[in-house]
Amino acid sequence: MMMCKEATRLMSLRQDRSLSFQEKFTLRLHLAMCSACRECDRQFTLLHGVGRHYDPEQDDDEPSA
Amino acid sequence: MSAIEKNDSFAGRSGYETWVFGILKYKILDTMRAQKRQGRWQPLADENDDEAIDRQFQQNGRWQQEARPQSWGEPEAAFETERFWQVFDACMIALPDSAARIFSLRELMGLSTEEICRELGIKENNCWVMLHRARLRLRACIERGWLEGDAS
Repeated sequence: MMMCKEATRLMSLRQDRSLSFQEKFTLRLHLAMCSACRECDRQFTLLHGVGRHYDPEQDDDEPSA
Repeated sequence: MSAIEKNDSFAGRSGYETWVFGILKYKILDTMRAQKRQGRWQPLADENDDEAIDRQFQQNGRWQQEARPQSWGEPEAAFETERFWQVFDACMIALPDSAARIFSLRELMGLSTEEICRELGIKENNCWVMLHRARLRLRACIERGWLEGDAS
């Protein structure tokens, strides 16, 4: 079973590329059971968005771009 | 700084920021490439970095109690506060150089990991590992500063 440290690796990876079906599934399962990791996921997503607020002219980057 | 000297040749604030960002992006890439050539930077060799991150987790991979992520409140609202940006800036300064640079290239300047790795001549997997570590470290620092009022 996947633990938090590995879950954070997938959360981070999701900001940079599309996850495989298996990666998505195992991450989703872990997030459903772990409130700390749900917060971490929100915060990684927030940090991914800082660029928009630094440079309003840039389009929001898709992970696979 | 060369960007500031040339500022009267550019009309419009957001256009200027875009232009400065372009210059910064190439300066960061050049610095990292030079360090790599001179052997002063190896992508995954930062030992202090590993320790700081390992300390956030227990042996079994679960969060350490004192490192468990807390709620930051309404996410988008954070960006509206000056406090958030003060904490963010302080934490970016506190990050190890290579972590700060790769985070900046990816999240502030919007380069894809494919582009970053191509420019730096490293494997994309290394980029992902470095970004994971940078995000864990930055997140932890920001939470300390944001919730406890202490950005150190």
